Amino acid sequence: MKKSNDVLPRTNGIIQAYGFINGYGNSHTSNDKPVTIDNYTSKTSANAKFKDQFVLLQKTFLDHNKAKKKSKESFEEAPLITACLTYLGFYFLMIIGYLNQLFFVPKVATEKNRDGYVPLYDAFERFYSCYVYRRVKDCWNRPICSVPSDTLVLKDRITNDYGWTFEFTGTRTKCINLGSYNYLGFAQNSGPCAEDSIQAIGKYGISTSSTRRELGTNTLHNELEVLTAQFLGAEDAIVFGMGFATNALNLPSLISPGCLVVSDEKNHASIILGLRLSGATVKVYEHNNMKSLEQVIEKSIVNGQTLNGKPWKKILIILEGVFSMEGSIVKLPEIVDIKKKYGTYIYLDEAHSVGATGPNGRGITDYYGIDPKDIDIMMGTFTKSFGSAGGYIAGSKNLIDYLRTNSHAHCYASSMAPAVAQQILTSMKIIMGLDGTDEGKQRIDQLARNTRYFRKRLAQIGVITYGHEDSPVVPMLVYLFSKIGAVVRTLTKRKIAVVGAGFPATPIMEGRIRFCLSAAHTREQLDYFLQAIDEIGSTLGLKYSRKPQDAETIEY
Amino acid sequence: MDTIKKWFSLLYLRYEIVTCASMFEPWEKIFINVVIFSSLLLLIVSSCIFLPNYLSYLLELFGLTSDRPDTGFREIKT
Repeated sequence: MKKSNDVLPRTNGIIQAYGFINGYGNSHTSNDKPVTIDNYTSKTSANAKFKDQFVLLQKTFLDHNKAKKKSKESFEEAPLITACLTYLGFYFLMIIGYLNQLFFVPKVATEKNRDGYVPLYDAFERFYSCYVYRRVKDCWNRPICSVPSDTLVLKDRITNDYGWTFEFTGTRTKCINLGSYNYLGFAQNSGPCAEDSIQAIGKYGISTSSTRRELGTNTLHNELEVLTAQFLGAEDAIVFGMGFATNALNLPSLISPGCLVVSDEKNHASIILGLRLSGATVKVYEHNNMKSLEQVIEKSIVNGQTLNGKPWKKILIILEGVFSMEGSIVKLPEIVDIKKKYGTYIYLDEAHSVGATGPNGRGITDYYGIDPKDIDIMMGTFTKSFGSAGGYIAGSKNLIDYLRTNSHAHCYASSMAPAVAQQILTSMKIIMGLDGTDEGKQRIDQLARNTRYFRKRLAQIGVITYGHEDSPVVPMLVYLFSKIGAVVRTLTKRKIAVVGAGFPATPIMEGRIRFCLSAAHTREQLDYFLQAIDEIGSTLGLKYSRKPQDAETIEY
Repeated sequence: MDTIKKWFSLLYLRYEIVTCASMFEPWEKIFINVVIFSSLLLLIVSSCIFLPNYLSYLLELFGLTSDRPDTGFREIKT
């Protein structure tokens, strides 16, 4: 019964159960009392009943396992006591914080010559950042002074006034880096990408200093757009110099008031900003819940526009490929079915999935084997897997031409720097295998292997991780706010750099540490890290998981 | 001796994390410890003094005991 997806041991288990029941019956019959006919028949009928029940049980058990096997995602719930303690901790923080704010405001936090001005920030926001976030401020925004590849160099700093100000000590620490979105390991300062980028600076200069529509387009941009379209299997593509702006500034040109947008509740801030700018009606569905999505769409179609009841101009489903905070992968096949059923459009944000998922690294469509033409608008960024900066939108020729004339980011934002474009071109060619080597394939395989190994080992250790087993973003739940700081600090002492996330980026209850895996990580580094997690998990109490853990060693 | 020490330090670490005391300034730490320990002390003392009487009164109220124990609580009540 060790391997849950192996069929043979399970049937054995059922047979054993049968044997047990029969044995029980036999022992009952072989007691001192004489067995009458009545007794006997009732016994056999009882046995038959048992058998029927067991067949039914076996069937449900198998069905259950099938369903379990199908869903590779896990969102284990926290123990109730942890939830209570998390809230208790927040109450303490708030009470002490308010007392502190009332009596002991330090010099750095008092403003001068501000009479007559209204406060710039919301009162609670200010209180939260000064008296709650400040206490663990040393775990965020840490300055580094190296390439953020598999390792990075932290600039050490200390605080003498409990987080209000920091001073550099002048020393540096080399840490294993599990916090950068460097999925395929292209963040390097040597190798073909770096060499090509340096050459591009010599040839094209540092910046184009203009927008795409004016003087900012050069051959690199055109080449990149053609290659991106080819990479994704779309008709055409358009590239922008900034990933956040790709969402925030293109959504307003695609949708307008009178359109309906059905958006996943865990969508990124850039999408939410874009939707607010567009003025379209936004309805939110539960994270990755297809029933909720379908209900929202059905209801909205039946009721029409909110004010006048007219039919919607357009209905757009917005979702991300890999959700950066949850580590879950979108259920694209179901969504394509829903799209076809209701005649909506799909806007897929592949910021974290392009390059990182799929056997060929082409993103979520490649992962599920879906025709990219089924996705109307494919958006993504070059910041993560390609080790560069910027974003793209790919789709039909009509769509891209429309964006070329209407997009604010295309018309008014300065274009991508040549060296940045060259970095993407070279890394994309490596992923596609156009450079004549199989290095890209190796990197994709390495990432998939790292991900599988890392997630399985974490499950074995007994910590709760969220998300899909193939997603390279691995959030580890620590729940308590103070544990985020404690874990990040302890790991830094052991020369491991990780990123924590707490309220308001996550719900109050779900403080977490987010690990991002990379193809650059070696097995030794991962083992060293897992060893550390195992040890501090025991001391700090991170092993919340109540799932059965198999003791088998996991192959790399 | 060493293991006991270790066990207590671990316990204190867990306590500090749960109450967020590990993130507090020294005076805040003292304040929160005083609040928690004094409320715990009050709870323990009050339950030691009053709980037996309350319990026997309750038992009597629901008719679970036949003999009537002579409790201070009942005397005050009658």
